[in-house]
Amino acid sequence: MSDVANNDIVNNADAPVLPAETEDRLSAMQREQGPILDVKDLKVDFITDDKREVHAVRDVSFNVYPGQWVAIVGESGSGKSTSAMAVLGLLPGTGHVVGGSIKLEGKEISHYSRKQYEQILGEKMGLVPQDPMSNLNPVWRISTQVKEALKANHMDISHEKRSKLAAAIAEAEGDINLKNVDDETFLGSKELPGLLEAAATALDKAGVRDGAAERAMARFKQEGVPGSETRWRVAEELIKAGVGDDEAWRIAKKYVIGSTMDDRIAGLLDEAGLPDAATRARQYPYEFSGGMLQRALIAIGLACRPDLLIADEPTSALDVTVQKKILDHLHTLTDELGTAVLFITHDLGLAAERAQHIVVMYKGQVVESGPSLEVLQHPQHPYTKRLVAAAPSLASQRIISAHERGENAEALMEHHAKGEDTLEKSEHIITVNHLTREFKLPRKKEMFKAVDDVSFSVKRGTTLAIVGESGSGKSTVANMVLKLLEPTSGTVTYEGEDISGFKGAKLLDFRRHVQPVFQNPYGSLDPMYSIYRSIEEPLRIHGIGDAKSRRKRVEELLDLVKMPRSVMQRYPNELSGGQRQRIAVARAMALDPDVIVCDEAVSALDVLVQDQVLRLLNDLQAERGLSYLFITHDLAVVRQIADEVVVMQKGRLVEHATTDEVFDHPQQQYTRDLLDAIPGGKLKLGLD
Amino acid sequence: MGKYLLRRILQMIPVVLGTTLLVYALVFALPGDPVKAMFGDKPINQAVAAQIRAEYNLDKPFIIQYLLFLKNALTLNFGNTFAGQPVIDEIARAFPVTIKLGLMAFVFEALFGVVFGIISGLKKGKWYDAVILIVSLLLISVPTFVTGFLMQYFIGVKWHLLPVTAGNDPGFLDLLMPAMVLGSVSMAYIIRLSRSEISSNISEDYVRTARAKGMTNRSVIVRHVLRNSMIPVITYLGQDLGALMGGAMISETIFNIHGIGFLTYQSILKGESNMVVSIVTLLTLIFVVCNLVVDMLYAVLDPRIRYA
Repeated sequence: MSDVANNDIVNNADAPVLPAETEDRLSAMQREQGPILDVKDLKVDFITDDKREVHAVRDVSFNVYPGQWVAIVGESGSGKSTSAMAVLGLLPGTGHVVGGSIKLEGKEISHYSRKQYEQILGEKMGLVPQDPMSNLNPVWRISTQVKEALKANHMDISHEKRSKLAAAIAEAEGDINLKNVDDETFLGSKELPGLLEAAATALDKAGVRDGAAERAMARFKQEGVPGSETRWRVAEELIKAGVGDDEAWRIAKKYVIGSTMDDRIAGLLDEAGLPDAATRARQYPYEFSGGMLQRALIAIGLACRPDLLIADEPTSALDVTVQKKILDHLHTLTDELGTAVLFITHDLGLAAERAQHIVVMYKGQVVESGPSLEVLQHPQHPYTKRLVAAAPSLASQRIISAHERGENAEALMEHHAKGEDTLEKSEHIITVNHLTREFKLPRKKEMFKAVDDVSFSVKRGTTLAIVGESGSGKSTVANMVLKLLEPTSGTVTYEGEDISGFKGAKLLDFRRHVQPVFQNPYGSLDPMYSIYRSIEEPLRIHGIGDAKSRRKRVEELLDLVKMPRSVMQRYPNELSGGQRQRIAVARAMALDPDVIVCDEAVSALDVLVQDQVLRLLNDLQAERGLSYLFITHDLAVVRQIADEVVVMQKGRLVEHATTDEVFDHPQQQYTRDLLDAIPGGKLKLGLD
Repeated sequence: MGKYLLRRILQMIPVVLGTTLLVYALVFALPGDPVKAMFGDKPINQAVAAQIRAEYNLDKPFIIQYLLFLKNALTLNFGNTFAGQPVIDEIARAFPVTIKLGLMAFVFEALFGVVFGIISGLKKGKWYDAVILIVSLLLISVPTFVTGFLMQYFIGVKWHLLPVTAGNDPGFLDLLMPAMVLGSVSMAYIIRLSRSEISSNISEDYVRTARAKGMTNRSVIVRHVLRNSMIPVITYLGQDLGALMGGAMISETIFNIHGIGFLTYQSILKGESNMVVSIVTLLTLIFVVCNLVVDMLYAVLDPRIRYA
């Protein structure tokens, strides 16, 4: 693994904006300081119930230099999270390090006791965990949970702490001011009004008036975040606005005299991008959205200014647009603070976009590592090649670039989108007309319109994708199409008949022809039912065949989804997420439906598994002329599977066109945002 | 919150009316004539019997009897026992004993239940965890009167550690053994409840996040594991407090404690409908209030729960 690979590449617009000479000095400094984290030949075992050892991680080596982003990429079960948790000393259950070394700042920590780990966690290493919903204690306020991090490490809440790297840069640049600890004093909320007033007077005295003064004041108000803005930055801002040096420092020294605990908490949350942080800090986790919770977790991870932040799939549970915002923010923040980041992800595109260095793991081992673009453009190991081929972000990128080069992109697409004319000709199997659904919100008089006047139709044998962020109403539409939810107004017609009138036998017949595959393969299969019973159940309910023929049908279905027949007697918890989702597809296929409604059917799956399921759906469509209504938040997936796209925002349909049209000429800003959010979109791919 | 509280208090009215009617009907339906029983072996004097019947409204139809009882109860007049004593006096004499017994049992089960539950939950798989589990399972599966008799025999009769029975006006030591017997089953449930809550909470993601902050093991356990695990335990305890007051019948009978349970038992035997209904009304009120307090407490402990 090359030591200096990290800064040879500035791969995207979000990379640190540093002058060229600082850049060189940075890499020189990184080399000089040595790696902050050095993992060598790490081995981690788990012990099963029957006392057998399971090798989760084998001979894994990688290192992270100060200020660098390093990504570990691999599918679930590849040992990437386990390696990260081993570094943090937070291995779950029976997991333990059985060999190799973990060095933090040159010190061996793999044998550390829990007490010793308590000393370095938070302060030297921070964690941003995977699932924001479950990583905050529901019974404590957000502010309390941030405070715990500050208290546990006895953080000085009135002064900024600089990372070693930032301090070293400051020193090298001869910036004496930055070494003075008093200049790192935080602004307090009590002094803020006084500061603004003094700033206004000073501006006036300095002859800055009218528009310029207003702009400067607006800037002060925006930048002057108590508990985050420091004295030297206040002085700097004042000087920039035109106030004389001495006066600026006098004001800064008079009004920036330290922050309270509450100020600091709000300051940290504000830095992590939480709007209205001082008020929101007093709320409980259940009052936050996933994206906001993740911001709170970033604030917690960075609260004690660790030199290394371990981000374990920090955005995998979030919408792509939110994901982009949060990662952008995390990037800027860690660059400012000089924090190194070990970034765990299953998306190679995302890894390449964010990290300078990529480590690819497969079955507990590192199969490839190197500079991001190198790995992406010239993957050596077959597994990496598969990852590159499967990453949906990269796949759609490939199609786009092929388009741009004027080549035939058809070959790159798994799904051959139907041409405009075939779409015109084919008849509509499902038509949605002015569909509206309202919900009553607690403590509110007016109704909440989850779906607002949406119309579209699914043509026979094609795939229509509904795209939007969570909360856009796309799943509500799916539920109404499935007749699991009654619309407030509007109609859904299936084969020309309004489904709202379906009852009894007619409804049963409708259910037979329109089948769902839901998002969470863990939740949608009954854990008490064997796989056989799960797939056979629809046949039994609809009274199809006898026991013997049903068994034959289940075997056929398992063949269809490429699962071994031996899984029939097993239970859902014994299968992986991808296998379960295939079982869910098999169950949906049991009754030979015409329409399958996939509600985020692949969103919870790893890229490789996602790829397999998408392929399966494509093959089934080609073979049987199925129609799909495909609900997703991921435009990258849409590119691979859909013929037509409907974009929804806040319950309304904002755009409806063929897939190519949407990708090539998005009409709405919202659609462009969604497209921009596809990770890896700005990467230059090698000719592969 | 205030609206919710008012609604809950208003809901108590039908609950209390319903239970009193039901219990009155049950006592009315009991076989045997209480007036005849009063004469014992002596021949029944019809005139006297009629007079007693008139005095206690026993000659009127059931629904009239019930309504008369309600009317009097509204003015806090719960009538007299057949022996002529005001029901309210009898209850006032017996109730403090039961409260004492109930509170002792409550403290016993809460203290030992939670402590053993925490030990067991934090040290899952150790030998003492196994011992605690087996003992708690035994306590749950063996009926209270068996536990009671066994303790009475060994601790009281054989080893003379504690008084065998309590009798009139019992003190702390007299009530210790009955309280342990009374609280034993709930204690076992609390052990198992805390244990399972703790062992599931300790592997929660937010506990790992707390450790990643660099918090000491002790504060992680207290603030993130125990704090969350205790929510259902406290809910259970609150509801059990009501149950302890009413459920003391077996323990009070075994240990000859003249509390509410004992009084209820005696009154049922004698067909003292006024007494039985008054006691049941009181217990119903206690139970309903305990439930309300638990629900309020629940909202305090778990911020996700809000009443509107």
